[in-house]
Amino acid sequence: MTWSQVQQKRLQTEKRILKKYFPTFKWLNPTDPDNTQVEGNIRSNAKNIYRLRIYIPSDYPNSRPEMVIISPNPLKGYLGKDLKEYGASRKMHILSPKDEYVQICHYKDWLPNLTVYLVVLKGRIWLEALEGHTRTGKSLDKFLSHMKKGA
Amino acid sequence: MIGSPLVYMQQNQVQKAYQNFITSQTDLSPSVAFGFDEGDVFHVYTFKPQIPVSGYNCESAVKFLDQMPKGEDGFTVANQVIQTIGKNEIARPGSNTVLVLFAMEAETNELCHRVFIRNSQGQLKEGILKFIPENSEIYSRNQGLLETSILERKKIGIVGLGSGGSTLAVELAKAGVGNFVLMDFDRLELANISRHVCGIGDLGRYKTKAVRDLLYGKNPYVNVETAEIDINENPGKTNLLLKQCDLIIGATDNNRSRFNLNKIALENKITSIFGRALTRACGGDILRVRPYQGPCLGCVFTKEFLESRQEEISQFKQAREETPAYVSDQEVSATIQVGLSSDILPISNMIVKLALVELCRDLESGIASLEEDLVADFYIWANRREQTYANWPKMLYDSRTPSILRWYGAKWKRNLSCPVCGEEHQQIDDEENIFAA
Repeated sequence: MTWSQVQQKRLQTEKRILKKYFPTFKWLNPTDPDNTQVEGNIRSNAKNIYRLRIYIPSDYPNSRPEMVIISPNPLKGYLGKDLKEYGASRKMHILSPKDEYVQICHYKDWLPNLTVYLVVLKGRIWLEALEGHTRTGKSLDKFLSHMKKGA
Repeated sequence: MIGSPLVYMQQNQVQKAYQNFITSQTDLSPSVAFGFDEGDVFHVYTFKPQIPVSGYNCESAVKFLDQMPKGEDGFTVANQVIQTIGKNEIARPGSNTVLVLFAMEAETNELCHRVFIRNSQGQLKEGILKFIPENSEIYSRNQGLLETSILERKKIGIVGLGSGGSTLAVELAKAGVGNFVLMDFDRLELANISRHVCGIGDLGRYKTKAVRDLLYGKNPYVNVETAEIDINENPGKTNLLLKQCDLIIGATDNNRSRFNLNKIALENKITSIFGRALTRACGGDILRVRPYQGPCLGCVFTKEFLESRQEEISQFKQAREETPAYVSDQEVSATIQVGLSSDILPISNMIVKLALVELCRDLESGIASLEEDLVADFYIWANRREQTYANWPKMLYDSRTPSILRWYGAKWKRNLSCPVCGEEHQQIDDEENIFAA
């Protein structure tokens, strides 16, 4: 299976936008729609480094790309608790782990006008909320408000 | 009880049976008959029909003779043949037996016929044989209004065969559309029955196959391909099945599948129609997409649009898929709010009208004036004064103000910077393209 011409154009545009704002992010297996991923490092305001991975679905942009934190792994929160122990948690804005990594809950209702850049941006914000949680013990939704239906 | 029992046979089955007789010289061929209404009506099949049959099973045979016996002689011959059937153990004592006699008339070179029915008391009656004609004749009543010969050649892909998709599939077959691709991976469950065209007798069946049989029941000559696949997981196969269609109808219940269909329709430059009901079917909307001529799904289905017109959630599976895993099943169940079948029918009916207009576009037909009316690409249906329509004026006697139970066409321009059909990323730089295989 290959990306269609329309998808290739779209992904090229996405790659250009992502490179502008997150230049460290790389596209992995870009010719294989069943295994295309985007990976890159994010440095938080507290100077901690996290590595994010975004799985690009073969019907992109029609379905939501999944996003996980692959480093550090295990990802620890308040008092060193492994975030995977929460499972799928509304309070922590996380879904069930994927490939044994913590999966971030980002756009609830995905639409094709959203982009990988916006997903990474959500990841960036989530990481800041994570650091707030790690410092204070408060759940992530104290730092991140939930999206309304349709958002 | 009517005077003479009516016996129906499909014309093409008679022709095939006669050809078999000519080539094999076997003059007696067993057949299957189904009886209805205490022996008033019978349907005889010489081979397995496409349609699911009902009625009670009867013994039956078709006999080819050199010459058709006249008057009472017919009864004598019929009695003899029915005795033979009994000896051959095809017949079961105590039930009706239907015998169809055929003979080629030398003078006219026409196949003449008589039909006899022996009832459970052993009495022999002559019936009236009627033929179910070829396709073009079945839909002859539509002629003048619709170009049935053109519709017969058209192919429609219908994705999603729930309450909306199943209804419009049947209506399009009734209008004379000759070729269908039906796609859905769901099976018919008890909860579906109250809104679906299929009934209890179809429980557990794939919706595609159950609806296909309904289409055969309306027109045995219709061509139906079915695919029991999730189009979101099988984009390649979906594309393959739909790319030869003249029109694609998206009657699914989630945006991911709609956007995937929108993509296929745009890539193959096929007009598509998407319909959906709003929460509790308080209303609905329909979008017609003429590729690159008007708005596509991406131009219309924006975040703001979806927030203002929230879709009906009719099934737990649909709700579960659209809700994050951390939301409990109980909370998910609470989001299911459905309307009645009669709330969905106006939306299906409007889709049928738009589909027929698209299929007959620029052709001389009785619905040409409709083409002038249905110029909008987006239509709103107001069903009840609640939710989106809560503040609308009551219908009463005033036809000049907006009211429920009406359709409203809306002007919606194509968004040239639409991320799906827009022109912003139309240029592809081959050197930088790392996504080409």
